[in-house]
Amino acid sequence: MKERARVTTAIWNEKAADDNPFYPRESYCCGYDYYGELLGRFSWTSLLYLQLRGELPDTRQAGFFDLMLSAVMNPGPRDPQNQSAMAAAVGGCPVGGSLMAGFGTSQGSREGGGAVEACMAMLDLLVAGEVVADRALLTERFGDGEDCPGFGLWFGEKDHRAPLVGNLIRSRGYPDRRLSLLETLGDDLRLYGVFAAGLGDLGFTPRQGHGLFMISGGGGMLAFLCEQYSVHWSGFPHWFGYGEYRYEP
Amino acid sequence: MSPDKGRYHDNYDRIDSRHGGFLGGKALFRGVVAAEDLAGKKTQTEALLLGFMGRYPEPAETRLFDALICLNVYPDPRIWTMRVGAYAADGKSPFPSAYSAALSAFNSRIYGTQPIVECGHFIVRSMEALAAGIPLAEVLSAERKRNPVLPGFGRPVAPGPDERFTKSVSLLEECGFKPGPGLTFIRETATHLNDEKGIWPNYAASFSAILLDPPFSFTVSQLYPSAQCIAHLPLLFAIQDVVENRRERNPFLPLKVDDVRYTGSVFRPVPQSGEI
Repeated sequence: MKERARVTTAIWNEKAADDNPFYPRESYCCGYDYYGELLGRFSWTSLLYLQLRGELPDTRQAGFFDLMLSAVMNPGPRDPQNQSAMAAAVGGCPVGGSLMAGFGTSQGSREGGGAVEACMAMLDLLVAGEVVADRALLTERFGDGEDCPGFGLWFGEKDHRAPLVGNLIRSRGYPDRRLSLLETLGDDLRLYGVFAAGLGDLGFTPRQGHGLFMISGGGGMLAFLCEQYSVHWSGFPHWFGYGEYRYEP
Repeated sequence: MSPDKGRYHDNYDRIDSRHGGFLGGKALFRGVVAAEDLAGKKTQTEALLLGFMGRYPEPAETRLFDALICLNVYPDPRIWTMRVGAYAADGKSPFPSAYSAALSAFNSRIYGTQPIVECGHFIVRSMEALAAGIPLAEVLSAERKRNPVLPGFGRPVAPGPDERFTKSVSLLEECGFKPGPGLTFIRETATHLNDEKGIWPNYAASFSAILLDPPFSFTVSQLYPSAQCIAHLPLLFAIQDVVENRRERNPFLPLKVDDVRYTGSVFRPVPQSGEI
């Protein structure tokens, strides 16, 4: 234990250079030499898994994790998180600020990171037998005024992506305990619910799931917002002069 | 030890501040005690100006800065930055996150803080050039080679004069201040551009000039925070608007699938030699 430790972490360990206490001569990630051994041998996804779970994933876990992250990488250009990032970028906001605009939108308890977190927390309690698998009760406790986390309609329809991803999980033999639990609660499962179930079965915490949902969506967000820099601001929907504005003070 | 290494050693365990902190059991800000000298005695605008100027403002200065804030209070979620806040609020992001998202988007090139700061740089550069004897037409020509759209000129959402420009200039005079060198330069530039191209100055031109000129005499680096203070209220209210109207779960500005014009590759099968 360092005498004057200011930061405590089990993830990253640096060895200072002999002549400069600020310079990290060696960097270890969860005990592995990051630049000497890990880098170049493991994928970005596996290294992310390592930092969050403390161990490298085996091939099956890495494949499952990658599938889950890929499933929510891009909800399409009409999704609010992408609309936010694109709206910022089309006005000439720098990339970082445009990403922050998108991330500020993707963390909500309505279909965002907050909803994933609530769904994962709910599933953890269901698995532990600490709550009853009653949708009405679960909705009241975890729904934040919305549907039961993980459920609901998508643009007024059942989310066809959810069973597609569920089938992929099962066809590859990945764990489906939480997915099966969700399926007992209704047939209107949302894609983010499947994501939450998958991450829970991989051992991630609800907070980690919240953040992973946002980080993964950041990929599509970045692609869309960068595209907007070549678009004139008047080419973006709903700018002044478009549609109806009802003002009732 | 190299100067670069030395900087790390010198600043280890040390924070330098000119603004304040909780020290000696008191909340200090710019040399005054917040609880004793500010609370109940000064307005928020006076506290803001104390922060920017390092001294208490005169009543006319407070009135002018306050008027600039009021001039900008119109939340309209059709404007990009406020739309971001509205989307975030609609998705039930925490209020601070929605506000943070809107503030991030507010750092835009065509609206928000960037035009004010860029216009400040434009004013400072141009006045230096004018002081060196370069004629206005040449100064503007050089600026337009640098950036075809002069910061502080033109208005995307409405043609003609920006009411905030004319009103802020008249407020300056109502508060007893004469137009300073920055605003005088902007007016001369406006005359030049309006005669030549029919381009009008916008809020960014008058705001940056007023803030750079006496009595405020802000530096360009102070334009970011001061512009943020002047113009941030609509973002708060655009978000609150959605929060208060969320009762019926009406989605905010949904788009139809056909609202998106796709310009990429046509459908094609995934290569057989895929990654997995």
